[in-house]
Amino acid sequence: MIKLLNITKSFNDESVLSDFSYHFYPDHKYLIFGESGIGKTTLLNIIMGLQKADKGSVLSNCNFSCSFQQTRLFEKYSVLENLKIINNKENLEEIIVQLLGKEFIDKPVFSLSGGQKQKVSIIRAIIANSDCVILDEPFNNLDEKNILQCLEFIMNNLKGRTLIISSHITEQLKKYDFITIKL
Amino acid sequence: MKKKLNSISIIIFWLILWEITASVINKPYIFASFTDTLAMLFSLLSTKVFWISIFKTVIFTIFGFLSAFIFGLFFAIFSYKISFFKSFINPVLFILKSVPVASIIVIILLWFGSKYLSIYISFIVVFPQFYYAILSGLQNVNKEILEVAEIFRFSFHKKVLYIYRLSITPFLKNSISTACSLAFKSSVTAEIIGNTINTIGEQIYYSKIYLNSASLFSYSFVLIIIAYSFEKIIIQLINKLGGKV
Repeated sequence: MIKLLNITKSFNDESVLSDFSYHFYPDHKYLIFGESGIGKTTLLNIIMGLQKADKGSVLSNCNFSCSFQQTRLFEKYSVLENLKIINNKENLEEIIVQLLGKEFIDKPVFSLSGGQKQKVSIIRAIIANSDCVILDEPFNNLDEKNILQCLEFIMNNLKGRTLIISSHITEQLKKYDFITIKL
Repeated sequence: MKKKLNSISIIIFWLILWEITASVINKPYIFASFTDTLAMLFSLLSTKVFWISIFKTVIFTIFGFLSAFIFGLFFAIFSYKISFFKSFINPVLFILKSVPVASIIVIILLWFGSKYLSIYISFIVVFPQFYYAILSGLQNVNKEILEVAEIFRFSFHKKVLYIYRLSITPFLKNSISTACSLAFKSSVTAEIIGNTINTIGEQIYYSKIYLNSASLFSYSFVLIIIAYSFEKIIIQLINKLGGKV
């Protein structure tokens, strides 16, 4: 469980989060939505401990895994190597074939398109051993067909973990029972 | 193929020029010709002192070089982690970088004698190179990738393997050529000044005493080959162990 208590955060005197409180429960799916620059990534970073809130506190006993907005993959390494770094036990080649195609297994990440990198980043977050999966704008650079394919993969492999997605794309998420948080 | 032919033609040109210059000067004790040097080299190859000198200089220099790498690595890590330590050792490194090698050689001779002189000198000359290269690599680690490591709870081993190693390798590659040639040059200089027994430096010193330029050129030629080969081996090693950079 993750408890956010009275979180306040501002940048250069501009308030991004003001007295924000929320409880995230295990085995629930959350969608944080709102316009660009409203503070979705900041909130996720505070949850994961990558940024400190100016005021308030975060109580959490979770291990996180995350898909970052800028993917942050190991660019010189292949898709398979990037995933092996995180988890060597899963049937990784099968997953890559399912979401990207067989020819992508040994391709270096720097040669992939933005959307393909995004998919690798999502796979990395899902295969990691964690209690809470955080996906920051995971559907950037993906068309509708690929968004649905990724969503199906995410839901099939969530295995009772908490899922927190920040996204400005909400249409395709409607069929899943997300608890929505508008910023 | 064309590039190789070009290189060979250039080398042949310089060798011919060397031969012509030597015959014009016509004082083999000052300026031995290429053929004289080659003849001397072949005769040296069959002597015991040649191999002992080569062996001792190479082993001592490599020992100093590798020690400098290990110390450079640990000192750079300490400096990266503890800013006081970095400020603390900065004056020492500044002195090591600025003081002429000859002065350091004389100081080492005064303090420790000539027995292990080339180890100390190659260490002292190369240590700052490694220290600054590794420190720069550590300071340029991608902060965003470090956050990935934090979130995914990378072990120390994984962080070293996939983050720090990849950041350090390009800086090491940039400094390795200079470090290799500096190590051998300064070692032999130290051996000449210190007249260290059974070393290349000592043989070069005798070449000067006995006005034997063919021997001087032979040892210098062998030294160039050794330093070049050592540099190639080290670069191969870095390429192999340095990861995908």
